[in-house]
Amino acid sequence: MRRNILPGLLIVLVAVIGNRLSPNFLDFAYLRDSATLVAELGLIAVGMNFIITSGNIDLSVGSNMVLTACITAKFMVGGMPAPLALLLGVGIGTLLGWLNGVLITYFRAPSFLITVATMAMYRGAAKALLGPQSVKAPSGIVGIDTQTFAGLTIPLLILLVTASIGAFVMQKTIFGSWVVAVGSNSRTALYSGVPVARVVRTSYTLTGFICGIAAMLMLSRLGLARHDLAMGSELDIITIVVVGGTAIQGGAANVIGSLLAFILIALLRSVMGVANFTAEYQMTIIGILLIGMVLANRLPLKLILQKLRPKSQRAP
Amino acid sequence: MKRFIVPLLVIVAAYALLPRLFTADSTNSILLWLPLVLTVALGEFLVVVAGGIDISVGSIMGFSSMTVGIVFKANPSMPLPLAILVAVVCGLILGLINGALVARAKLPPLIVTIGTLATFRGLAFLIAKGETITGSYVPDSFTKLSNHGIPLGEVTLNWLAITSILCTAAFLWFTTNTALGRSIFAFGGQPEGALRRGIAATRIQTTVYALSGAMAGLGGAMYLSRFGQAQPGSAGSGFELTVIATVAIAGTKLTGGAGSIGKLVVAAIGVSALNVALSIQGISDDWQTLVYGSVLLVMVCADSFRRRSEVVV
Repeated sequence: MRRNILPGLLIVLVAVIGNRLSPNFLDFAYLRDSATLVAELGLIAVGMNFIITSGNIDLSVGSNMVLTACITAKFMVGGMPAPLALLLGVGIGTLLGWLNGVLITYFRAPSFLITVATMAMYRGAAKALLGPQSVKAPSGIVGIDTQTFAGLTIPLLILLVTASIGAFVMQKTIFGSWVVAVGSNSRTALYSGVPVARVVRTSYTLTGFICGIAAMLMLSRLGLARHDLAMGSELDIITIVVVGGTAIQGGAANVIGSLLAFILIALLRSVMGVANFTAEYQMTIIGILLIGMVLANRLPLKLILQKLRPKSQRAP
Repeated sequence: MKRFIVPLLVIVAAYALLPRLFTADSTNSILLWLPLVLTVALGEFLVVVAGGIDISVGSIMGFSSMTVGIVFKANPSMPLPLAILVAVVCGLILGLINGALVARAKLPPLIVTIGTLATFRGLAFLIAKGETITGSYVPDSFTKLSNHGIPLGEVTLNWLAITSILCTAAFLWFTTNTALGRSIFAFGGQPEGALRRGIAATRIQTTVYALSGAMAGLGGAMYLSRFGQAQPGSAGSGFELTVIATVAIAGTKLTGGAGSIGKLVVAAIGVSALNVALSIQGISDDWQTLVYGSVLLVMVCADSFRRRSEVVV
């Protein structure tokens, strides 16, 4: 619970700043709609939680989402019926994530190197496929982000459901415990009978599956696919996971914290939008937030708290 | 010779792709790319040998090229060595920030440099106020560094290439003849063992990130000289991929501890030749990312496969 305090405080701070900048900032419908714009990032962050907790990282998620959206849009333009194409899209995303997992576990290679390479490959494949043009999605699938249910937009509902399932899997299932075990000490986990390679592979496949869903949501929200969408989104996603309290070196997860962190990023993005920050400055602020949070998690909090207490109450 | 086979293969591939590369014109184009790739790759090489990674080099290049451009805008008659010094110092400062976060605060290098990749790009915008450094601000004498130099027949060994060769020599000397340089290899190979032998992790990590920053800063000045203009958003953007691919092609052990500067030079020539071949062949920018990504993936897999049995999980 204590891990959620900092993101909570930051949310309040950003909300206050937003309210200062624009009197209508704290309007529910406005906040809901601006959060919907980044719902895909929050969604992928749920999968990224598993990867980071297992002691790995995935830099290719944004590229995966874009390539998946581009291929699916191409198929739809080619006349494939929409429901089939959507299923295919989720399949492609899953496949690309699985490929990462297989490469990492088969070659026993550092995950950041493999995913730096696949980040370039997936994005490059999307570029090679479409060139500078964009592909329009058929009107039938456009606009899922404007439909609401129980006061929330569909992408936000999907995020909420996915995060709940993610938290459940992480905390209450064997697989979740395995992920944490692999992240805290993979050798010990292996010797205790945890199928380490399978756990890592499954985490990547799971994230790929979520990337596929996110790609379909993005396609529906924007109504088109282009190779340069979601540039640098891995920064946002990793920041959401880290701000949410998941340990960057693995072994400790907090999926619900990521949901809080998602709210923070969504608020921050819309405040920066209101303040007319350009995309590059927004990226800078997120980058500073990432480093600041990793740094804050490194602080010896217990020691500081103990120093703050009166001498008589200090532990011996 | 056998150990040079992979980087040599890239050169062969580039020339096979485009036999026209043998002409003097193409060689001159390769010599335009080589200094950029080689200079920045030298810094990245040391970081990788020390067991880290620096993916912020592209943004550091962007920042330093904007800074040099702004300095020229304010004072067009500034002596060139001073301009280059400004670039190197800019890079050095940014590199020291990376170094402090990795070495002092003990944060994972990847996370630090993802964060600074974004932050430094923003700084480039901030310092340039979002404006492009156009050709009119850059003095001719500065752009001439990239196409004038020592003529060797029809080929011109331009001043930038000469600079990068001097840097290579300096790095070679540093890694073989100084205690600090040699301990980078020891530390990258086995950090714990190196610590027990009295090698200071903080000093090594700070040094390699600072050097990587300084080289990327120099690379930024080279970028401005070669292209004659720079935009805050695109100057050096994505260059980290080229550089990391070069380091990987050079057969550098990607988990740290081993690598050779000789092979790095051959790999840098290969990558520059490939760059020229791809663009002359009309293989558009669109395919280049895919090519570099695939080459990098193959190298990472090959590097890991060789050591597969050493890793338990």
